[in-house]
Amino acid sequence: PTYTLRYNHVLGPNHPYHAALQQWAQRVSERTNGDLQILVFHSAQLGVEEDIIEQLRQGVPVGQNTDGARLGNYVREFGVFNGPYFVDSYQTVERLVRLPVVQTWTDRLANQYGIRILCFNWVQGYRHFMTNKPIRTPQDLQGLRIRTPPAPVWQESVRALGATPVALPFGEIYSALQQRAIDGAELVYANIPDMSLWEVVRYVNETKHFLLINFQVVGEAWFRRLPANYRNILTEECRRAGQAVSRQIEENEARIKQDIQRRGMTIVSDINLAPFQQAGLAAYQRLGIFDVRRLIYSQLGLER
Amino acid sequence: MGQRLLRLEEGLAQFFLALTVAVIFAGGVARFLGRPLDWAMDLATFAFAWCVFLSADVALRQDRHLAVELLTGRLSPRWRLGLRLFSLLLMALFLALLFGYSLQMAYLTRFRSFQGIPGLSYTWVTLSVSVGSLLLLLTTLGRIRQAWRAWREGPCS
Amino acid sequence: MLLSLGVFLLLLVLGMPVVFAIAIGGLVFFLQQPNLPLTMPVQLLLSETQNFSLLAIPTFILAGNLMNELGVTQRLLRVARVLTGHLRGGLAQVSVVLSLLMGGVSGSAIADATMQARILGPEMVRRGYSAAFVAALQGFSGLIVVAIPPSIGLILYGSIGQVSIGQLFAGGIGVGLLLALTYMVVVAMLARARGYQPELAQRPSAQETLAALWGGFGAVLFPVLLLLSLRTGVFVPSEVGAAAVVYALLVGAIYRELRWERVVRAFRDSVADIGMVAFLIAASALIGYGMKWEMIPQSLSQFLVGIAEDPRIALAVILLGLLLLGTILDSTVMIILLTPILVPTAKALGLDLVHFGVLVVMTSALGLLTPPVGLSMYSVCSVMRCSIEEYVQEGWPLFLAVCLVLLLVYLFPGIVTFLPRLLF
Ligand code: NA
Ligand code: NA
Repeated sequence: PTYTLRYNHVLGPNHPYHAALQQWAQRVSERTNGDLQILVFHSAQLGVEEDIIEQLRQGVPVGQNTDGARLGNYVREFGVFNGPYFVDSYQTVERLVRLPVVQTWTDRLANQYGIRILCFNWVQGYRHFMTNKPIRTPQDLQGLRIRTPPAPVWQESVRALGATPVALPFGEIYSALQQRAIDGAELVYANIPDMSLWEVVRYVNETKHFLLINFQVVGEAWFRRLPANYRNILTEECRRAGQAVSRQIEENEARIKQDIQRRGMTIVSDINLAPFQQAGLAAYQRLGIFDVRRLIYSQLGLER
Repeated sequence: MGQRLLRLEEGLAQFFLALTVAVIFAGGVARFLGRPLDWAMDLATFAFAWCVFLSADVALRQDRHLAVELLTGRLSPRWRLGLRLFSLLLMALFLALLFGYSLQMAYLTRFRSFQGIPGLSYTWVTLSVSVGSLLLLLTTLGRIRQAWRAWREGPCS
Repeated sequence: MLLSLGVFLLLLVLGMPVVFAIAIGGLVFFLQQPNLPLTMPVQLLLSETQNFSLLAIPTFILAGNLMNELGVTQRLLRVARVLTGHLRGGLAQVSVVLSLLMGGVSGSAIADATMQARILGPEMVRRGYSAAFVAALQGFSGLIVVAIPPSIGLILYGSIGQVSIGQLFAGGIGVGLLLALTYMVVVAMLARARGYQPELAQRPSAQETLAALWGGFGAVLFPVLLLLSLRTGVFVPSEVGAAAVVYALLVGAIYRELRWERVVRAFRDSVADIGMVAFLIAASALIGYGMKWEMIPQSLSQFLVGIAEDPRIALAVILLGLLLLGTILDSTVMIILLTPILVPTAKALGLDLVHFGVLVVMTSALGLLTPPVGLSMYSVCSVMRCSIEEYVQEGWPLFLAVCLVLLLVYLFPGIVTFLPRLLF
């Protein structure tokens, strides 16, 4: 192959994203007659997310599955994608992709910071609070120490919902829960079987506070070196794989739910989300991205 | 240079070690009390990086870095000295490269900030590699001068 | 990558400090790749120090040095003396038992080995043990810490391979106990052969024992308190070392041994230790990156798995491969890279994934102690100031002991699976 891209993600090899990225790699290879090759690395083998992003900015032929909080380091507006209850469904994500204002941020990210977004319609599902007591209102979260990724967007969002965010590495969630150093975590369903979480927490509370949207990024310099038709193939297939895997993850959830209930976990689904949504607004205020949210909503024609 | 710099380097390394420990401990206690410190993890690793790269030179000055002396132990003193000189020159070359590129990296990474401390640019921790590699380079150059002198005086003694 | 490894080995043989041989070997890889800028080695060196879980290492190093300086070690020794002084090789036996206790607190073999070498090493040398033997003993007893939960290696294997971490933890306990027992037998045999004398002519009286226990109360309580701090949820494993530092200062104050100059001395020693160990961990990221970039561990293990069909033989081949790979690779890197390839293979072969996991993690961890590259080995040799050749000369019986234990675990999976079956 003339072009080889090494693609890194922090999820495990059994996460549906891994298979989806490999599927993407295969389709791209087929359509370019093997001239553009993508090698997929799971479990952050090539390094932590922030390091890889710094590398691809310098033209290293690597890519990374990332989120709005990380990209918000460079173009602040992307942080809004990680705000609480920012979007409510996959359909909205597909509409976001086509918004002109998002396109201007994407261009700024590419031109000023050298980061090229290939697509961002990869959705891991809703994040829920996983605790040892049922949660039905923001008050129930009061005083609970909840593990949350360290970026400010995440921390402020979880704080706004009523909990006390605790920044810990992803790998320490299991032992911290087991030792009761934290009272819970907020994760997607797919994380539960990955970490055997039924051994250490009892409730999944379906608060749906984030729809976890991922961005697939490569270096702009590397991207520019590709022939125009290769660039199209790369982004087209990225979107296609994202659509398929997001749907697949949604379908998997039913199976995971059955499995974890069989293993003794309780799913709390009778939650009135309105008070949570109201509480979450404070995060946008505190992070100074309330206007960004309003702008997007007006372009989407949403009244919220 | 000499003694003052040496004491400053050791003192700073010790200070950063103390800071690392204090911040980790405070972070654990604060979390237990239900008021976790957002910045604890990042400040601890920031201080640790400075501790490591300053300490690397302290260890070099005290000859604490391990070496395998399987072969060199059996050579004549002249050969051993020659190999030592070669090793030191290579090390100096490596450290000079590391120093140069660490400055470039410190500049390139200026937009990246610590996640838990949004105001703290990653540049400040990258500079620990610059300072560390510069100190290591100075120590290595000192050793090269010693070895070179010994080499020149070699045949006579 | 071959050139890179070749340069590393050549520089190693030429007597260059290991840390620079690794770093320069790693740099060669980046020089060969026009796509990779030379700013990347800088980032990789730094990236290791930004791993929160690794902070257990410097904090335990400092805790150990403080205990040395503040009289805690002396009291611990007095306790050890009354408990095992009448046995041959008393202090060596204590080292093994201490690792068993520390195993319930620490998840890192390197940190534990380093701490024990610091705490018990100088005293053991004073009592006639060779520095190299002490280094080997402390290094190898660090493996007990990997087997007894919490264990970073088992958590990595469990979360990557989707194997129950609770069952893995329960499975490790049997291996940890067997390992400790085997070490104690080996130590007893060596003590007889090498004439490591008992320190006391006879077993001390109950009164003497109680007096020593009371005098060393805070020191003996140390692992218990650390364990409690974990069980009550005050600290996560990465933080326990920092708690140990504070505890050491407290105990020193209670014993009225707390002096400014002693604390400063402990810091000075620690900085030199950390400069050696942590810089080495950082540098090994350089050579590790090249291997990951070229996907070498993957191809190697696929090759290993491909050559055998019988599950027992395949397992043996895998373990031997890990043992070989462990001589040059870091155990954490190995577990992260190989688990996803080995677990599906083990499934296909019909092996028990908990039994398999404990074996894989322990075999990888053994690589921390085998030359030419072994971080635990470097660390204990540096603390004890002995050469690697001396370490090998004195340490081989312990190496054989571990191999024996691994062989027993391989032949009798019940050693691992007994507890998980009982509990889950
Ligand atoms: Na342990
Ligand atoms: Na090794």
